[in-house]
Order: sequence, then C-alpha cells, then structure tokens
Amino acid sequence: MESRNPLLVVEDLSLEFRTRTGVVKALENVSFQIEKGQTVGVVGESGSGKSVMSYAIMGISDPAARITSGRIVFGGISLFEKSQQELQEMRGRELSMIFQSPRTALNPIRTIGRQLEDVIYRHSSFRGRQIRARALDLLNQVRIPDPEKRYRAYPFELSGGMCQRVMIAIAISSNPWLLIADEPVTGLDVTTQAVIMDLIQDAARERNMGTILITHDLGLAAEYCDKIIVMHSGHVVEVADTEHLFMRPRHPYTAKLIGATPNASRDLAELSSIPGNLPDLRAELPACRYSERCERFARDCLESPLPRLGTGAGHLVACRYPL
Amino acid sequence: MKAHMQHLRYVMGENPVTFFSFILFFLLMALGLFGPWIAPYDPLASDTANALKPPTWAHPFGTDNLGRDVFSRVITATRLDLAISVAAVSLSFVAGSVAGVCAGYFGGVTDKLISRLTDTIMAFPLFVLAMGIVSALGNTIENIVYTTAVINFPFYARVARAEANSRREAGFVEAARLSGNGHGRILLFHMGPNIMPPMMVQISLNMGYAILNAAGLSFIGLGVRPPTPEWGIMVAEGAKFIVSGEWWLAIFPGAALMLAVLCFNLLGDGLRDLIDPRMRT
Amino acid sequence: MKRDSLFLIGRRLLQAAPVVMGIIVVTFILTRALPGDPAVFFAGPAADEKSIAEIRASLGLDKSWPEQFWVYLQNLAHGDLGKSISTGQPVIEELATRLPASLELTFMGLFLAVAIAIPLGILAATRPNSLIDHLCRLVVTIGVSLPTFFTGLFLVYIFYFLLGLSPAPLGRLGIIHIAPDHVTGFYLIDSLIAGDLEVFRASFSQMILPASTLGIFALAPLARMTRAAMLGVLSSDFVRTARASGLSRRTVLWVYAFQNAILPVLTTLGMVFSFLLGANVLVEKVFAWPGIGSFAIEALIASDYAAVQGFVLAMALMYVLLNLAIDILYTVVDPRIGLEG
Repeated sequence: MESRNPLLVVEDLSLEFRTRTGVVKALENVSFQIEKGQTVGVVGESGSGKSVMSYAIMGISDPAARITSGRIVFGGISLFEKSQQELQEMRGRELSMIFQSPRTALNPIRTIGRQLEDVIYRHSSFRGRQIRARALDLLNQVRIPDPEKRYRAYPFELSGGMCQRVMIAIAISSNPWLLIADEPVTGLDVTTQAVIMDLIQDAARERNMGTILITHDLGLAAEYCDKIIVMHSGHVVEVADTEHLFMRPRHPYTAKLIGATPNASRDLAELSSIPGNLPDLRAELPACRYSERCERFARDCLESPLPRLGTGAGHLVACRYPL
Repeated sequence: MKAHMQHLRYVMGENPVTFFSFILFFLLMALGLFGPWIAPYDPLASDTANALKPPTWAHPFGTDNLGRDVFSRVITATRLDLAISVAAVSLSFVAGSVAGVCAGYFGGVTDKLISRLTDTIMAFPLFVLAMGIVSALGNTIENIVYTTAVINFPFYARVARAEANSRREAGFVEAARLSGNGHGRILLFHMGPNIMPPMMVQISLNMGYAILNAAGLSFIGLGVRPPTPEWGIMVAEGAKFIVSGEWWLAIFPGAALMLAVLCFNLLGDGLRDLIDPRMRT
Repeated sequence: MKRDSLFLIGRRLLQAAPVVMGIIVVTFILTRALPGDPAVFFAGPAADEKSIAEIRASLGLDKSWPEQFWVYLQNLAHGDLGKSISTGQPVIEELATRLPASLELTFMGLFLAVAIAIPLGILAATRPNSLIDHLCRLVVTIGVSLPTFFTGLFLVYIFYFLLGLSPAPLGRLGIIHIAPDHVTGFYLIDSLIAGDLEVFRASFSQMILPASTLGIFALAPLARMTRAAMLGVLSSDFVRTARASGLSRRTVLWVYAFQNAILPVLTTLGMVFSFLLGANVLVEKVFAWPGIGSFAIEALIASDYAAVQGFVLAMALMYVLLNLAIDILYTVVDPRIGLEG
C-alpha cells in the first residue's frame, strides 16, 4: 500500500500556538502519508486539529503558530526548507485548498470572474484574452450554468453551492497535485452536498490529484475516501483504509465515533454520546489525550511514549490497549 | 504554575498604562478638591513687578503678564474644568439613559421621536452646534454646561437604547412584568442596573471629549470670563505671548488640559477592555 | 447595475431630506431662543416702545411661530440668512467670501491626516506588536487627547519662535504678498493658475502649520480605524483564500485586504470631518486665519446672532453634503449596498 514515492508525507509534526493565556499544543507528533490520486479523509470533532494541520501543510498558519518538530515532504521536497516566496508560488499551483462557508471565503467586493482571473494570472503564462477564456472554461468545468453571466456576479449574488463551485474552479485552475478540502460541504443542503462532492471527486480523478477531505461527517468520509485518519485533540489516533476502519476499528475513540454514527450520515457535531470534553490543550497533557474519556483507561495510559501499533495493511493505532 | 506566571507577566505588561491613568485620576481629583489649598499663591493676585517671568523654583510654571503665578492658576483651574465637564456629563448621562431606555423599551413612536432627535443633533458638527446653542442661550458658565450636555446626549441615548432594546425580551424583564411590575418599576429597577456597565464605559470615554469641548468653548471666549482661572481661557490669554517666546503662559495650562483628557481616555479604554475584552484593539 | 446605482443615489438623497429639515428646525429654534426679547436687543439701548414694536414687526416677531417658521423657510430658499449687525452685510455674502479660506485649510488638514493615518494603520496591522504598531497606538492615544488649540500654539512656538522655519501665524499670506486673482478662492490653486510660484510658496508656508494642527487632530481616529479594519480584514476568510491561492503578498494586501478595509475608514472619514469643522474654528483663531470660523467667533463675541446661526446652518449643511458624498462613494465602491439595506 505505502509506495516509495508518496505525494505527501507528514512526519512527526508538532505545532503550538503562543497565546496570552499560555501555549496551546495544537498538534503533537502527527504522522501520515498520502499517495498520488488518493483521497484521504481526516475526521474528528471540532478542535481536534484538522484545520490547523491543513493550514500547516499549506504554509498559511496563523502568525502565532510555531512548528516545534517534524517535517512535511510534498512531491519529494521538504516544505520547511522552501523560502516564503517559493511556498507562495506553490500554493494554488501545486497545492490548493477550499474552505467551509464559501460565501465568506470569496472577496465580497470583487466579481468572481476577476477573482478567478487573479489566480490564473498568477500561476499561468496566459495573458489578456486567454485568461478570460481559461476562466470561462473553468467555470464550465465546475458546471456553473450560464458562466458568461455568473462571471460578472459578486459572491453575495450567488448561492453557497455556486460559490463553492467557484472556489473549486479557483483551486483546480492550475491542475494542482493535492487539494485540501476543509469541510467543503458543511452548511450546504444535502443535494448540493452530493453535487459538490462529486465535482471534487471527478476533478481529482481527471487529474490524478491527491485529495484531503477534512470533515466531521463520517458518512461522507466513508463514501468518498480511500483512507481515513482519525484525529483527537491534536493527535492522530488511528489511520486505516476506509474498509478496515469501519469493519474493525482499533482505537476506542474511533469505535465510539462509528458506534455513534449508526446510519453513517449523521454529523459528529450533533453527537452527544461520547462522554467528556476535549482536554484543555494549554495544560500539561497525558501521553494519551483520550484517556480521560476512555472506558479502557489504565494508569499506564498516561505514560509516554504511547505505542503506535501497526496491524498490517497500513492500519496504525496509537493506543496502549486497542480493541 | 507556568501558566500562572505567564498570566501575571501579561497583566503586569499591560498594567502600567492603566496604573498611570489611575495615578493621574487621583491626582486630578485631589487637585479638584483641594486645589485652592495646595496652590502656593493667590491665583488672582497680580504682581506687575514680577510679570512674564520664566519658570523658577519660586514660580515653577512662571508668571503671566500680570505677574500672577501660573502654577497656582493651573492648579486652581482644575476644579472649574472638572466641575463643568462632570456636571455636563452627568446631565447627558441621566437624560440620555432615560430617553434611550424608554426608546429601546417601548419602541414605536417613542423610539422614532427619540431617534430622530439624536439623529438631528448628530447631523451637526458638534462643536459648531455648541457655539450656536451658547450664542442663543447666552454666554454664561451654566449655558456651557447645558450645551456640552446637549451635544453629548446622543452618545448616551444611543448606547442606552441599544442595551435596553436587546434586553426587552430578556427573561428577567419578562419575569418582572409577569409578577405585576409596572413599566416604571421595570425600567428603574430591572433595566437600569443592567445597562450600567456599558454606560460607565461610555462615561469614561466621553469625559475627555466633554473636557476638550468645554475648554474649546472658553478658548474662543465663551462661558468663563477672565480673570477666573480656567485652562481653556488661560491658553487663550497665553496665546498672545507664544510668538514672543513666553511659552509657559499657554503651554502649562494646555498640558494640564491634555493630561486630564488623556487620563480619562486611558481609563475609558481600560474599563472597556475590562468589561468587553472583545473590543480590545 | 448602473441604473441600480443611480436609483440608490436618488434614494439616499431623499433620505437626507428629513435630516436637512431637522437642521433647519434646530437653527430656527436657536434664532428664536434668544435670551429676552430679540426686538429689544436689536433696537438697542436708546429705543422706546414704538421703535421696539416697529423692529418687532420688521423682524416678523409679532407673528405666530408657524408663520415665522414659514417666513424663515422662504428666506432660506432665497439664500437670505439675515444681515450681520457688525458688518452690515448679508450673512450669506460674508460666509461665501470667507468659506474658501476655511475649506482650503480643512481639506489640506484632512489630506495630511489621510496621507499619514492610512499607511500608519496598514503598517501597524500588518506587523502586530512591532515598533510601528506601538507607535501607531501611541499616536492614537495621544492624538485624541490633544486640544487642537494647544497643538497649534505648540507648533507655533517650535517652528516659528524657536526654529524660525515658519512665517508668523497671521493669516493666509504675509503682508508683502498680494492675494492671487480670485478663481476658486483657494490660494494654492489660484496662485498656480496665475503662474505665481512665489505666492504659491508663501501661501503654502502659511498653511503648513495650521493644516498640520488639524491633521494631527484627525490622524488619531483615522489611524485607529484603518488599523482595526485592516486587522479584521486580514483575518477574514477571503484573505485566507487569497493566500491559499498563492496570490502575491502585494495583491493580497492591496487588492483583497485594503479595498475591503477602506469601507469602514470611509465611514470614519465622515465623523472626522464633523470634528474637523469644529476644530477648524479653534485653529483659525490660533493662526488668525480669515475663514468662517474666525468670522463666527467675532460674531459670537459681538452677539451677532444672525451671523452665528447662519454659520451653524452653513456648517451643518456642508456636513450633510459631505456625508452624502461619502455615501455615494460607498455605493459605487461596495456592490452589496442596496440589497442588504
């Protein structure tokens, strides 16, 4: 399963925020990898570090964020060794990202056509009329009806679904190798959700593009992802192929998540069946950040290092007493 | 433990400014209350032999064109300057709270009328309106107070209206209504205390502006008459001597004025951060 | 889209009507709220019963208030603000001849403030907690606490008395220069039209101190708003998108962040202008600037009511006009206006 030439390797990544009230250890020893053309789901409750991790990959972390260990290797290149300028040029060309709430993610006082043109101008050799032609072509690709007219529209004149299509058009404009989709369909209605997800999937297949789908909807992840990474409080607690994960979850947290999602279509945000809260990431934390909520808790769960058990076929679990 | 230390350091790091403004505030209050006893000389006593002397140990702020001690005059003036602005701010606070709470609580026509009134006042450049009102009412200190109160009224009315409006449907107001309280009691005992925190912030933010405004009016010759010591009029009198280099006549009362305004502005910012940390800039 | 804008501008003009009416009512009340009997005042100390009654009739004060208000409105419609008792000239003419001096000064002050405040606010917002950010906060805190007349005198002491860099604070031009031919009334522009660089230089050097005084006063609120707006926009979703799309730092900052941040700054500009019109009066007194502020102060001291109320009305109308201009500009810049409101 693990190839010798993966698209993205995140290795031992730790990240913290310096805030007024203390240091928040938002990510700790996060490791995983993604192959070309693979779709990987990152699931977990809000606050589990999913978005922080994707911003770190994109190189657009908050200025208060400090990466304290690890490396990110993208297409064989270590991203932390790149200059700001080089990273800037890679963003939108080799790695792209789309976000939640697409209507606020677009500049409110610029037409969507202009915003698309800005990115095409930046990353391609197209100039003049070619840019407009390319932009219209992209709007067609994301199946926006009547692109000529929408081209001159402002984001507030379009629906959330339409705006997300524009976002996708911007993201895929340079045929990137990796697309990070951060909760791309949260807040959209169910039919639109399916349309947008299909759009992302098609775009990825056509380009052999790797995709990271960040979601708290396990059902969505199950439907679209080849592999799933389960995150909890800044830790990767389990990584497995989608089938394996659902058939035989090893981490108690994953089991709870799946158990709490009977028809695989409910939102994790709506769930209340997992007892306890996420721990305060500013405090001294035990080796296993789930220990406080865990039914299988034993004293040595608090001791570092927490074993990372491989159970074959790329199934990894960070737990002392896995299921 | 580490987090506690960091919090302490953070508080210490931000404290000096608020601490400084507190010191200034108590200094101002002391000067306002005890100024006449602190002042080393009679602020009105002229001594033409010692006119226009630069600062010395005997006269730390120098003497003016009539030989009066500028230091004593600046200190004595504190009471009058503070009295005018405190009186004006109190008036606009009371009137603004009542009007604003009524507008927010009753809504409808009351709201429309009061909002129209505040909008109309705000449609004027406020200092210019103040000049117009003083000229119409007559050039006295009391009218300076009323005028300053009028131009600050909209700020209080707007805050009170917004606060009352957002609490109109609140549980405690509903409960008070159901237990048979009349509008008057609800407004006075239930709304009143609840809108106090934001109104207090408004007062401390507004106080500096009120002082500046009143001093501005006396600078152009309205309200306070010479030889009464007052910062605005002292700067106006000293202005003539700036071009010939006798800077202390105007600069010291001006600096006192600036420090007073700065003090209230800093207090206001500190208070706002305390009550609503999200507003921190 | 174009027709929509025109419609919105029209609607905005209509919305200004009640405000203008409110202003007129207030100035009417102010003219009638004179202490005592205005007729007695205008008749002077030597007047007898008969002459007072004549004056009362000539001023229309014997009529009912609604009738008086109607007359007041009619007079306003003809641009008649009454006569100044100290100069004997119609108030409107007195104001009109002095207005360019005040406007030139106010605009220059506003220009200086904007030219410093906006870059300062942007630099502070893009480099939080840096030296320039602390400088910005210092400027903002001190700036709002400075009495304009104090700043003005301070600058005069430093730049005129100590350094001798500035001319004496005595109006728009020194006595050795002659005012340029009247075209716009703005000496800087008129002197250029006349091709007289010497007068241009002279009037510029006269203006620099009073304009700086006004500028320092207006700087604080503008810098504060620019910084806050920029900070808000820089942490917005769409700037994050722009950064994630790899747009250059310059494009993100100017095209995406700044163009959005300028909208609240524009609103603040209206408020600042209101303060400036007031501060202008004080600055004109300090620098003996022959504008409408100086005129109003003289009128106030001389109890020249018609002149003062004419001044108040003119200033208020100018302020309404400026706010209208800002709203219209806003409508042009922000496509969202009109659909939300």
